[in-house]
Amino acid sequence: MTFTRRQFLRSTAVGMTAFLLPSWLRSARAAGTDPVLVTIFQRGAADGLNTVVPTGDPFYYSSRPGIQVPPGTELPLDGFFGLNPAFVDPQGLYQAGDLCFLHAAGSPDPSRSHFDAQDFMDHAAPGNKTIVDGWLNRYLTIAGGGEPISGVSLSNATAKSLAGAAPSLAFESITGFALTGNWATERRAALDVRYGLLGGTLLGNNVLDAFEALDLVATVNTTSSVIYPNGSELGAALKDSAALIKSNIGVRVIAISIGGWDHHTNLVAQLAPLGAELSGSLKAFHDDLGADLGRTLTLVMTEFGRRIDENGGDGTDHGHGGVMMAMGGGIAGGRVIVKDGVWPGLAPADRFIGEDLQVTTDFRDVFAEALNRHMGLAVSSMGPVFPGFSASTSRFPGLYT
Amino acid sequence: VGRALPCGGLATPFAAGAAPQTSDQQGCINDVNNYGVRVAKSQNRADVDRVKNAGRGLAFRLGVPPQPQTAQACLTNDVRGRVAKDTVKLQDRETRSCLAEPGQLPGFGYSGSATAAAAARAAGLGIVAGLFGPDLDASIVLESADHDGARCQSDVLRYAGDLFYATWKEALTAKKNVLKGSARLAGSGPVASATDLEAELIAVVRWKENYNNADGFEFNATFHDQGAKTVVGVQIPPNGGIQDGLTMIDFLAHHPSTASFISRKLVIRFVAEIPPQRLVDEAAGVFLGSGGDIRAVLETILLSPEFLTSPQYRHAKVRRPLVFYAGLARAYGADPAQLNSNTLRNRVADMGEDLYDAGPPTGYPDVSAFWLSPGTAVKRFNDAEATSRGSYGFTFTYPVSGGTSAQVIDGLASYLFLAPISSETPARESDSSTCFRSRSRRSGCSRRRPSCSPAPSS
Repeated sequence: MTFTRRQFLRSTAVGMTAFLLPSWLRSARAAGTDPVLVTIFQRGAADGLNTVVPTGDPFYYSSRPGIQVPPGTELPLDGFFGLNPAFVDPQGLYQAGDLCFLHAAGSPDPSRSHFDAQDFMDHAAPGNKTIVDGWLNRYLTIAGGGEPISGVSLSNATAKSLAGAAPSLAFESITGFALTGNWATERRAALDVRYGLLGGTLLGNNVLDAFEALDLVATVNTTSSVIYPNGSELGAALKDSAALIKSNIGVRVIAISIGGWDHHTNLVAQLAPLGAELSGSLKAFHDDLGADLGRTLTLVMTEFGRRIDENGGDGTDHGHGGVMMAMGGGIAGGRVIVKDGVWPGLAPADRFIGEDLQVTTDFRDVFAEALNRHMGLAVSSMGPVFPGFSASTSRFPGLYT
Repeated sequence: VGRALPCGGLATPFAAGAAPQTSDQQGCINDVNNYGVRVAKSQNRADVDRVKNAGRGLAFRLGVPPQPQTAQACLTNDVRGRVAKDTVKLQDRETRSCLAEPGQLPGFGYSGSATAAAAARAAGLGIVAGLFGPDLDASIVLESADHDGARCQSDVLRYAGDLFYATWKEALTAKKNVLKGSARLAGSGPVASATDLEAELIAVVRWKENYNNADGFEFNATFHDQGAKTVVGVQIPPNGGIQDGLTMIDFLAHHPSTASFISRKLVIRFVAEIPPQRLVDEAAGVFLGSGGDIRAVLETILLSPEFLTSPQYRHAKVRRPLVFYAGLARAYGADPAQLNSNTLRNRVADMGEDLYDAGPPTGYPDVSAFWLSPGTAVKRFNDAEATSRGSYGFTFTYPVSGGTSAQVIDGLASYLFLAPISSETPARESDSSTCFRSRSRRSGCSRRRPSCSPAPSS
């Protein structure tokens, strides 16, 4: 077994985790075949009912007279559900079997606070405010190699889902993650010595993680022939994700966010451009991945769904059940997955606390299936990833056949 | 005397006409109003930028292609995204204050944050149209042609915006008070329309325009609840007036939880993000024993072994973005007069902590995971280097120039430590560095230089 210099220095003071997690525990997959999990968090609580429309439920139309996707304009999915036409590209992915939707999915916790519900999902611990590290971080702690490159947040700050004891990287863009300016090589050598002395400290560990990964990330080819949506931060992040994955440098999980989904007013007009951005970015990412699509699973999630009834401002307020999405070459796509094939219904008597779409698929079951069927983690090892929750194959929603 | 009159006069029509708004409903109305005004302010600030840039002929700053790069088009281009950002903040605030819980929505025709934002943007744009007419490009005075005229144009727009903003702030304060007054009025008559409310408020604002509260505190007996009440377990007798507030302040100030809370915040601030409980408890004890003497509490913290000597808490704090850049400015001896503070602010914003921009009411979190990552660490190195070359508005004089390497080291040391270093230190420094390089990776040579090897006996 070999330790990197960073692992050694990182652990010289208080941080002993690197020693507890030697790299030989890593799975022995060859480069280029490691599975990768990409998470896209729609911050603000996306409206699932106007994304994947239950056209077969008459209460959809009676509950949303002003903001409904007009009957007949939806893109047909499976006869019962239709897709909002703003999300045009995923229909192609759906038909190709590389994309599926999970409806009436979300968190069992009834919170309607964005802040709490996002934390609960990022921590995979609904209702539990004592859990403060992210589920992806706990996954890396179990299955990662202790290498910072294993987890990447494409943002300034580490994503909450990736925050925690296992090292990871956070940077806004690949091209921005480089030591620039005069005397870059000399400065780096000097800084390396200086921060080598600070191993085990907050600053030292971040610098050592950065320096270990700088050369690796610098080898990534960021050019792509695929056109991503112009000016889209999500598109840019997915473009960088594709570049990281294709370069086989050891990235296992990537966390991305896209904000702006809190449409209390003018939902139709606001959802359209975001839907186009999300769908266009997913489509470009799909095409860009090419041969690597099979080892990449992308999960799209949001903290909760929105109310069934429209409000007085042509929008919808905070609700409960929503839509998740999964994209990958290996999934059993081309389906709208509802728990046991039973749509919980929008009739007043069928609603969660009389107002909202029920959650029949717990988001943790989706996460668990992704970790098991895609990332290869045994269900029996998932205890630390899902505190207070017992993952079970019998509850897997069925992303894979 | 005159001040109390219109407020009292205002309360009467609402006693008859307005449905009382609960404190949650009031919170919603006040928040949407306050954040809406911020949108208007951003729109105005952006408009000022536009007029300036157009006056300087900087068309490229007026829009990002394919947006048209004319001043008129730019009014709605929102190039820097400030208006959009504040609109999103308004939405966030609405979500929290109006829509998170049932019962927050006001009892009259609530139009929602989008309407408020649109009105705010329109108000900002209205100022431009009022001052410059329908075609902004035709009215722009070019700085190259008439420097003072161009400056006058952007200043007038800015001050018009300030006046608008101040007027609205005043209006909202009055509205807040009215809502508070109406909240405890029993019974429900016909619902007052929002237009009525605005009309009454404008009357108050006009009257209050010249009022300037010098001490920043105002007790308004008219709207105070004079009944007996129990607040967090404290029984407050009737007719206490201003004494009610003082009673509560006393109670909270002497509550043990306050001592622990403030001590904990201070230990996090000065010692470690996961604060040592022993020190928190000791500091809280001093807080309570001294009647909340912050100097005594700080003395306890700053003279504690945790702060002074404990290796466990060494390097346990990392500068936040604002402090980092302020530190850069000071370390380089940047000339405050030359410092372009907006450039500096943009750097802080780029690191994720723009000034006065924290979403939650508790401000930016006080743990480094929220501002420190490998990516921001590299950004810091890059910015420190760029700053040393005069980027970001820093102008400074390099403290040492010329001489031998020893003279340069002495000069830098004098600059950094305010005194020359002793003749032994440079030798020791180079010796320990050698040790570090040769031994650390394999044998675990201590990460702290002094214990690495004995100093040469010279």
